[in-house]
Amino acid sequence: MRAPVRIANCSGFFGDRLSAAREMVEDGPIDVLTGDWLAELTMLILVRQKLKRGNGYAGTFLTQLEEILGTCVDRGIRVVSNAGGLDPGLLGQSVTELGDRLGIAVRVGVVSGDDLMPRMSELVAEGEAFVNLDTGETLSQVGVKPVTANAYLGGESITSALAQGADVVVTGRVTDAALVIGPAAWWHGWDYAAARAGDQAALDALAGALVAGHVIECGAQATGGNYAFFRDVPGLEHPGLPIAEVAGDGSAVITKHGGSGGMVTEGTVTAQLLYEIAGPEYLNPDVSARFDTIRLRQVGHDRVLVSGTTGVAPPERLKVAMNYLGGFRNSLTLVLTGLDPESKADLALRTVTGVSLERSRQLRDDPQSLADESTLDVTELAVGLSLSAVEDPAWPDQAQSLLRITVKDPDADRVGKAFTTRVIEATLSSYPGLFPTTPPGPASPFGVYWPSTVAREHVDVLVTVDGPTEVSP
Amino acid sequence: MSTVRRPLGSFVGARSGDKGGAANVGLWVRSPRESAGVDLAHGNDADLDATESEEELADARYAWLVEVLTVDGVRRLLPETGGLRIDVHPLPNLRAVNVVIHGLLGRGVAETSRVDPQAKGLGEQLRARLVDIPSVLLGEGT
Repeated sequence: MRAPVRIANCSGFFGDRLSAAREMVEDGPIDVLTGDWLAELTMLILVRQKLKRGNGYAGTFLTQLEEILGTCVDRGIRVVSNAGGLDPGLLGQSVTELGDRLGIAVRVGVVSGDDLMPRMSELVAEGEAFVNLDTGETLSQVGVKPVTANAYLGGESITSALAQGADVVVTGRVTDAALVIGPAAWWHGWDYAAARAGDQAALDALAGALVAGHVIECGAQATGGNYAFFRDVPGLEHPGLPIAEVAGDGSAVITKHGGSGGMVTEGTVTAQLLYEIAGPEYLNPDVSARFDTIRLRQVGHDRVLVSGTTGVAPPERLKVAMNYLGGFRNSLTLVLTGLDPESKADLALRTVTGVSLERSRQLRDDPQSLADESTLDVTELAVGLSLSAVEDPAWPDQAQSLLRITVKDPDADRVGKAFTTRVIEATLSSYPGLFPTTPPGPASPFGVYWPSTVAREHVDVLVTVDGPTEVSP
Repeated sequence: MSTVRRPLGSFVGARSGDKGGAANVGLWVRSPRESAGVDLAHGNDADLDATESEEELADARYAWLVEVLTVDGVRRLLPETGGLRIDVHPLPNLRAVNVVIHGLLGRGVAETSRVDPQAKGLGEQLRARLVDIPSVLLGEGT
């Protein structure tokens, strides 16, 4: 059995610490560098970026890669990233060009086929209704057209790209944990077909890597970042990012480079295991992991063993993340200084929206009804009052409570000037000391997330490493 | 049994986030080996084997946490959940509880009007709620 593969994470989202890739490559030994650039919201951000700049990938990855590409190729460190976003092919091209510019011969693997947008009408014709997993509605029932639609791919296509010799693999929408499953399965030669046939050892190994991937996918959240007992964590001003040392049986030691800030304890690993899970079974295209079988054990300084994970068959269908443009929103926050903040908020609300503070509290979980009762011509109205002023305030921030008014509507004009003018016109005629935290701004568009599924046979995964090869999703 | 009114976070950790329109919060009782892990991280020596009484205290705290975090319990602690569907999944192997609140974030982070659109602070909000904690559970490390 091969030694454990040391898989380092250098990004938990598009915008995470830029220097992390260099730190993970230079500050200690690793075999694979990976990272996650795609949150649910990121795909929508990339749509806007593509309209503006012509590409829909996470460009910061290229900036990071430029610093480390030479070292990685020299040392044989493979790089696996989902920074491809909406344009994995374009990002692959850019990586090749980067290698050319730096004089580094680099083999680039590209995993694509997750993007269903070009095939939406064909898929609908073939019977895909894209039922919303949360609401049970179909796309046609609601009558909306998505602007992004991406199937979550698993680790198998990444394994294939690595096995074909890719130094750098870029993908579109794969699951965050697939970025660890793929390299672990490649390193140890795990057999996806055996797992599909129900082989328990193969399922358990993949499930172990899935859990390790889940632990490190959010960067410093495994090493003391965003941790409830943060006062116990040393060096949290600049925590090291996590490394999973994945063994041949799928068990893994979570650790980080020596000398870096943060810590790895059973607590920091538990916290991340619990992050954004929906229950004891954690689903992935290659395997599902039973989180009620995981065992944690502190085995050394910043070293936690994750073992015992049982794998079960993955879901029949692949998950799909869609976004559509829902309309426009605007928001203004008014400062209420000093005495009687609730009376001040009530007057401001009745002036600007026509509803009282009390009524806004009664309807605080029903922004549509609140909008209906309002004199504003909008479809949703939400009010938040933060009573943050203290008694006998010596300093301005101790005296300030905040009233936040948010409006939404399909029509940008109704939540633009039509809304902000109401607030501005009240400046000299309402409660004493009225001012907003920011100048009134224009309406901004918002997206709506639509989680769904698609049949595996309806997704054509394409892996290219110096030429195309097809694998099953 | 005597109880003391203290924040839930006295010995319970939490991490929260979003999955579409659902908010989820994971809560856990600190492991009996956690203080050793922290000591090591600070460059000190530590014994990685927990004592029997440390294990028993952690087990007792977890048994109490599961009683507190029923669906109704979560609803009382977070009135914002109103009539929303709440799922509670105990994970005894981690001395943890996974709580999912469906629809708290409307139709997701980009759409919701919630001030904390990804429920990042929801776990810390829960930890700040006062609850009646049996005095015997407030041993060391509180």
